[in-house]
Amino acid sequence: MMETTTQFSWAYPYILPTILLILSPIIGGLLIGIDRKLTARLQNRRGPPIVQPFYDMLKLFGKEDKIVNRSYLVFGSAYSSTVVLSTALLLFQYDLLVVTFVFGLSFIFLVLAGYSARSQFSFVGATRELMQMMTYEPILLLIVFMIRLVTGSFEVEAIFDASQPLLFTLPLAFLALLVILPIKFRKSPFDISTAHSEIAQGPTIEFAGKYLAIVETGHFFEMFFVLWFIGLFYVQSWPIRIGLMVFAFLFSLVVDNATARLRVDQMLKQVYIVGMILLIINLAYIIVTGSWIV
Amino acid sequence: MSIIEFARKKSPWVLHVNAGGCNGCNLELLSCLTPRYDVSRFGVYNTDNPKHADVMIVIGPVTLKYKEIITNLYNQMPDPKVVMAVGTCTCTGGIYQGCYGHCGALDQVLPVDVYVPGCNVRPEAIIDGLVLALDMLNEKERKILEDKKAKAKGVA
Ligand code: SF4
Repeated sequence: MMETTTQFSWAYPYILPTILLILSPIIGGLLIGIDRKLTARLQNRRGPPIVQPFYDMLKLFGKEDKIVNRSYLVFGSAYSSTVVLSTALLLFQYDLLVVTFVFGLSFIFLVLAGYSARSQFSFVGATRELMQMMTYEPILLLIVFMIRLVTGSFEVEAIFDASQPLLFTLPLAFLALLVILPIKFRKSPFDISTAHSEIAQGPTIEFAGKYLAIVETGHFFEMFFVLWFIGLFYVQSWPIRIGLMVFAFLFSLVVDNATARLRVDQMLKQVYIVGMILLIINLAYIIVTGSWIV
Repeated sequence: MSIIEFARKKSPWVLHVNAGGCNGCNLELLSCLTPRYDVSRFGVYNTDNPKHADVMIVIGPVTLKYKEIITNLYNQMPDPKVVMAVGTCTCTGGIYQGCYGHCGALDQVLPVDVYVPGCNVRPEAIIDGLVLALDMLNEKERKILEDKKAKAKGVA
């Protein structure tokens, strides 16, 4: 017995991330299903079943794919694979900065996919997607830098080793993360790039059949990635960690139903102002309490 | 029934096209999507994008100006696809019979699979029509596959 534990002990830290990586599209899909169900209940409707996203996915695999050109298929697949890559990097506790940049790269690929199809809707969608990226990326990066300030390293392990949970040292940064959350979920009030019935799905408009299914699977992973990132703010205890994820999910859902879509310039101004003020106050708090590790 | 055929029955994405009706049936169709009839509980999702759609719901006796647009939309939809003519004026011309500005009925322009008569139609009738259309989707896909096989054999 003793023999086996020492033999395979190197593998233990990899077991949970591997299982989670395999499960993450399923979790992400179920979350989208729960989201649709709860939205329907909030509007006094019955709503589709929770497994509806998987039905959609399977159906899309059985449809003809009308291909316009090659390049947008390449960029679409690149989008999904970079999202999977960033999820894997986060789960296997790689450098947080690299994780954020790879995640940003996935958005870039989606924008390129939008630009490479000759359709004005996908063009407008891609431009808006780019604006959204410009809005959330600086704030996300600043949050990552502040995590570096309080833990002393960009490694995710440093968060686990920290004496205090991140939520206590970076409470306002957490709020800033909640502000940019709807941008990443592409939900109201920031569902500007995929504006349903305004520009008809934005960058993904020209995708059909299994290629659309691949891009949608990327969304499943994205959903899981963002929530897992939020879970990093309290890694010391599992119940609170999962509670934070559930809270963020429900928060985005309620905000989605309570607000209307904003214009691009409104989004840019509001998110920058609110996010920056929150982050600056939090920075002052770190300096005053002396939790700054150089 | 394969798993994809099952999934296809569970998630029809509809494209709503108004080709020049009086708007009466449009409102009935929209009431299908609102809490009272809520077709989204069957997985119906109203896309505004022909490239994602399975079922095309057309309302109105295609006006001459709209003829080109609607054939364009039809050609953009990926197979298997089903066309539903909703409203009497879409099926036969209805109260527009004999007018100069339209094609007469939808089946003069596109191959129609399901006719839902009524001026204006009841939302229940639209739901019935959708259920019929769902069975048709799988039939069509099987036919396309058979055609493909026959073609492959013919070539070999
Ligand atoms: S069927 Fe009658 S109510 Fe419906 S769109 Fe045509 S004219 Fe209007």
